[in-house]
Amino acid sequence: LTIEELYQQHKDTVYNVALHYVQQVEDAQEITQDVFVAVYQSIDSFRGAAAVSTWIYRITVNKSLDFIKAKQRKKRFAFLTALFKDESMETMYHPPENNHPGIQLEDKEALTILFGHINQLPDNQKTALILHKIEQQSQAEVAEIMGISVKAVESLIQRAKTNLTKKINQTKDTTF
Amino acid sequence: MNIDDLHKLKRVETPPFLFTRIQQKIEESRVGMMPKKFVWAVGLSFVLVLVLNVGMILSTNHQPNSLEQFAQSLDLVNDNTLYK
Repeated sequence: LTIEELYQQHKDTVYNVALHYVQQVEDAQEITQDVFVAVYQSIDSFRGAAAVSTWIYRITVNKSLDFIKAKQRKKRFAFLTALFKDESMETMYHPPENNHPGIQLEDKEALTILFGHINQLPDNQKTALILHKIEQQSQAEVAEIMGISVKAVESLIQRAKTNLTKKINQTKDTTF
Repeated sequence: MNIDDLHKLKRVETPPFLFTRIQQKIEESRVGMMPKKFVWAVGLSFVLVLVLNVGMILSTNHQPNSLEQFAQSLDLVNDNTLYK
């Protein structure tokens, strides 16, 4: 398979998964580019032990998590530099606004809050939830993508649901 | 609001210009990358030079010749040091 064929087959999956992680169009586009460059560079070493889609999912998850970590590092650096400058924190820190294009206008408020909570989950719970709940992958497929057992996936999803429900209830309590 | 609200998310299409950017990035990464054969050849030649050097040092281990042995036995100074 050529890189163009792989891109045509998997571009929407990669872009949508990236969007679920970062909820920013520009960031998701950057991740998608990084994923396909990585696919191109490692296509020779791909031995076909897993399905191509599983392999691409795995690269997408890793690239998305790396992107978020790099962004957090930048934020921390900006915070530290702000301490040594005569500027207030409000001018330095701009929380990213959710502009996930898959969110319909009528659901924007609820899904923005929901993604805010998902972003606070540990990486493995977030990944299991995104792949299973949003991408509709079976637990076995999620297990293969994450390189863990099906039982571990089941447990991660359960913990993610419990944590999310707690956070949703807290939000409801503070709103009403 | 609950977790099942996530099913309301619509699938989004990738922007059409993205593949051109990917091709550009691939080209950029290709320029920066050396061919694997070249990297291996350079690495192997370094190892070869190192092995030859070590081999030379070990094989030319200094053995005193008969004249030096004679001078040593008489406790003569056989270097060019004038003042000791």
